[in-house]
Amino acid sequence: MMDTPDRFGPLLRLDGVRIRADGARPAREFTIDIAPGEALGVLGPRGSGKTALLDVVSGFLRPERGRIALCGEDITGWAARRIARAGVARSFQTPPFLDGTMIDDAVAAAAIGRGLSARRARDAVRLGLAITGLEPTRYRTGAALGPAEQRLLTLARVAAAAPLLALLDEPLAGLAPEAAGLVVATVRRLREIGITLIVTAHDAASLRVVCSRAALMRDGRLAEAGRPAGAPDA
Amino acid sequence: MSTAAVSRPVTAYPAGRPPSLWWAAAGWVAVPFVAAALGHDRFASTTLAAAAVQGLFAVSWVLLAVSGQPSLGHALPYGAGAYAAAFVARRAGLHAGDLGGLMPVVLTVAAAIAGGCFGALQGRLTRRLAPAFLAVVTLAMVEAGRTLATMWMAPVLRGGADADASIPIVPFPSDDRAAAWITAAAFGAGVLLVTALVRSRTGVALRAAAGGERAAEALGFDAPRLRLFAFVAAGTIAGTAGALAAQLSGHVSPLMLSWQTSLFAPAAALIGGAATVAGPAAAGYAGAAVAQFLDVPSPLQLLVLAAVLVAAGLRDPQHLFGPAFSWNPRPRNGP
Repeated sequence: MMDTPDRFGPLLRLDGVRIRADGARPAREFTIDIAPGEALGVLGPRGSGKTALLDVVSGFLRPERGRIALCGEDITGWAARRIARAGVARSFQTPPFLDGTMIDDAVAAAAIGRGLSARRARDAVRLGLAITGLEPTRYRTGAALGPAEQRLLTLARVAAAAPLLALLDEPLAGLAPEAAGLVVATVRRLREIGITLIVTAHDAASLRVVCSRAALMRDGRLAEAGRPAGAPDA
Repeated sequence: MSTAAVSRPVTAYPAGRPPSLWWAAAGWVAVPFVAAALGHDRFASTTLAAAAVQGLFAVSWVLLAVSGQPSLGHALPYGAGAYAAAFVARRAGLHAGDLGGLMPVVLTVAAAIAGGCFGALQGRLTRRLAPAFLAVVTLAMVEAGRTLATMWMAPVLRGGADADASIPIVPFPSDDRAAAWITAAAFGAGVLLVTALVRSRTGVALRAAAGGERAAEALGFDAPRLRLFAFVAAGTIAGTAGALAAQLSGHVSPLMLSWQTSLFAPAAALIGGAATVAGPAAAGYAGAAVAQFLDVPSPLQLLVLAAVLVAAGLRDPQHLFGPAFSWNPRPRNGP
């Protein structure tokens, strides 16, 4: 497990990280620093490379060149599971299929996967369920959850992993306004408990209340877009 | 952060911990022992012993169900265990009463190892396959195994090329009541072992692996290794069941590697509930006992197993094995 991040250094640094062009998709290049406790919103249209950014940080894509550092340690080329164990949690656009799994077990898997002891895992599960409001459903299976609760379940797993950094891929995509409000409130709580976030979205409005800083994916590159209007303090 | 401030989810469900798996498992550990105590004649003892062995075979498949691997070739480690026991007995020239009465133990351990190895082979070859392809490939593997057993194993083990592919093995044990007790103990141990595994941290990891490889890797798990572990563990238990079955019947035959044997385990899981341990154990035990008691012919048994699979498929076309299997999320309706 990785050390607590240096207070004065970036939690995550992408330095000239380049992803090779793949078929119809152009090459992508990322250079950015993320400070501890920050919430970075990454905006851009479909296919602009937002998910590629999350994939390269979480180890599902291997960069062609460049360097990725987490808490100052070079994690370039690490396997996804090693990066997860080092403290990078990840949620996907499509929630995992958990119809036959008890919610309690699904959340516990995140803590166990991170390598937490039995006692810490129990506390982490309690925290994850409390943050998302899924406590009443903890002994139900995933089949009992609606789409919004499925998203909340992925966020409960993120919280239970006790990560340094959480990568949330389009957490609001396809949700009705009421359900999106629940998810936004939960993402804010993740930030309140000290988790550094990178959140992708199509539109700036959904990220305004969550992110302290925004970046725009354009022509395969990450461009700073500053602080969103109405954004919370960093 | 105050939990009181946390919003309620969109839908509320009643809280309450479900009944522990241990109670149901303990119940099914007790049933064969009670039955063995009540069964006094030879027919009852033989029926109960066969039921316990088939129950053990069925419960071994639960580990594959939990890890999201709907194998239709589970008869391969089962038959491999039986053939390994026959092979060791023949090569070592063992007879009843050899090794100070420990011969059945030696044969069963050899069978468990062989079952684990063949489970590992299946797991290794299917580790990257989606469930539907995994089912097809494992079914093909067991058919290949049955053909090899028919064409090659019988001449090698019997020293001739006769048409009868069955191979005699020293019966175990000679006392039918003892057989009922020993198989009941094996069944009970299998149910408890699988329950313990499913409830452990490894069990949680296996279920995470069933949720999808990327999702499992993002949680920090080595999904292919977990799936391989499930195959090895399930194969080891199935191999043990195969050795017990062979020693009970006194012979090993390619029928042990048949479709019918393979379909028995998933059918028991479908009837008993793929997400439980006691359910498939109960269905396997009761189903085998009924088949043995009524002396149901093999073709009719196969027909019944096929009907169970067809009924399950018609009930839920996208998820033949219910909630336990799908690495591809299905679309949902609603907000």
